[in-house]
Amino acid sequence: MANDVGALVSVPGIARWFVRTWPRRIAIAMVVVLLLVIAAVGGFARVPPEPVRQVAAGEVVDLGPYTVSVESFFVSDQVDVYGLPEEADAWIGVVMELENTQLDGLFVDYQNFTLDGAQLVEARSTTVLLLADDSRASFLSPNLPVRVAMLWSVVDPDTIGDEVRLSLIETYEDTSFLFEETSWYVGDRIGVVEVPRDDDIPPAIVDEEP
Amino acid sequence: MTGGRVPRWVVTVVMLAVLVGAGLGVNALAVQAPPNGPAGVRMSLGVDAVVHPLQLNVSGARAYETVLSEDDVPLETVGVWVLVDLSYATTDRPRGPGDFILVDERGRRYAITSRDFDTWQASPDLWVRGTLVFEVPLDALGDLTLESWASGEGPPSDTPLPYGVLDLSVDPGAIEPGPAVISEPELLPAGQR
Repeated sequence: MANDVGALVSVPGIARWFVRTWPRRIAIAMVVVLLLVIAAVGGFARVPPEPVRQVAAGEVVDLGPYTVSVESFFVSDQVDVYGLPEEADAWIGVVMELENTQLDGLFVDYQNFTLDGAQLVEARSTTVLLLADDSRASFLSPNLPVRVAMLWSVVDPDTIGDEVRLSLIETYEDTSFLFEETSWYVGDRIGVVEVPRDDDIPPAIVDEEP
Repeated sequence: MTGGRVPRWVVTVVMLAVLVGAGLGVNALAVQAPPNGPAGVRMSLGVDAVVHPLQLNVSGARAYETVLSEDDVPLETVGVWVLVDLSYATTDRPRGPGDFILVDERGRRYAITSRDFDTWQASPDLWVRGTLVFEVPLDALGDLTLESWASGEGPPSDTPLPYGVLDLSVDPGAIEPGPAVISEPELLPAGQR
């Protein structure tokens, strides 16, 4: 028996094992026919990616735990002056309204937002400022809509045009199989906003000259 | 197979029976065990309550359209400010008051506003009186519940810890224009609340 092991695990050996009996031959034939049928009806064709929905500025979009309505963006080095990273020249602030639609308070998930159209220092924003009084607004209370500026630090702010593209990525709630806890998971990109520029910065968030 | 050996299928059946039996046994034990997790302690207005690690005495709640920040700037809100006056001490060592949550009739949960106000520390024999500031939407007013949790804990907790529960009523028709001034937390003379 031991002498046969080498022959058995060789490719011809395995192939011979597969076609040794009639039931095996029939099973293989059925699998082949199934694959051919799937190919014939186009089952292996690539699904074209769904076109990303264009979202107008001001439109309310449900991201899962909260809704967002994007208004405009500004470029400035006069807001959150002390928070600006050393290697950055300015902030892009995207003005938006956020409303938590859940029963519990929750933090803004920065993975819901990606920005194109500027040279970002970090891909993800880390700061949300409340326009009313310049406080941090990353914690959202249920049904208390807030107008905020979400900040990304950038270099070469002069190259930024009149529009930036903000992609909105949804998060969905799911229950962990192991721990039976629900939490939010990153989902698909559900919309893109061409954000218009408006450098009229809400005065409350402008820092005084040091 | 040698004589006297147990047939394979019998071994399989016995192993399955042991597994299922062990599972049922653990389930039965788990049902008998005392419930795990937080346990609510009901409180009343103006009465001392012990909710380890806190002793609490809540005097009441009021609603304002605006409040002044610590820098005397009126804070804007699309909702309304609910101020809860309370005094508290601890049961063991000096510590802060933990987490307070205001729950409305629909089950929406509001934490203390993070917009301006500091918390403060008390200890077992030192009662401190202060005001908690909540920002809630207008339609949350009415019958509210104040929950008091140990710091960092909340309803999903598995820890068998007590949390305070107090019914609070805030009349939506009795919102004062304000602006409310939040007084500094004060240390109370012995016996006062």
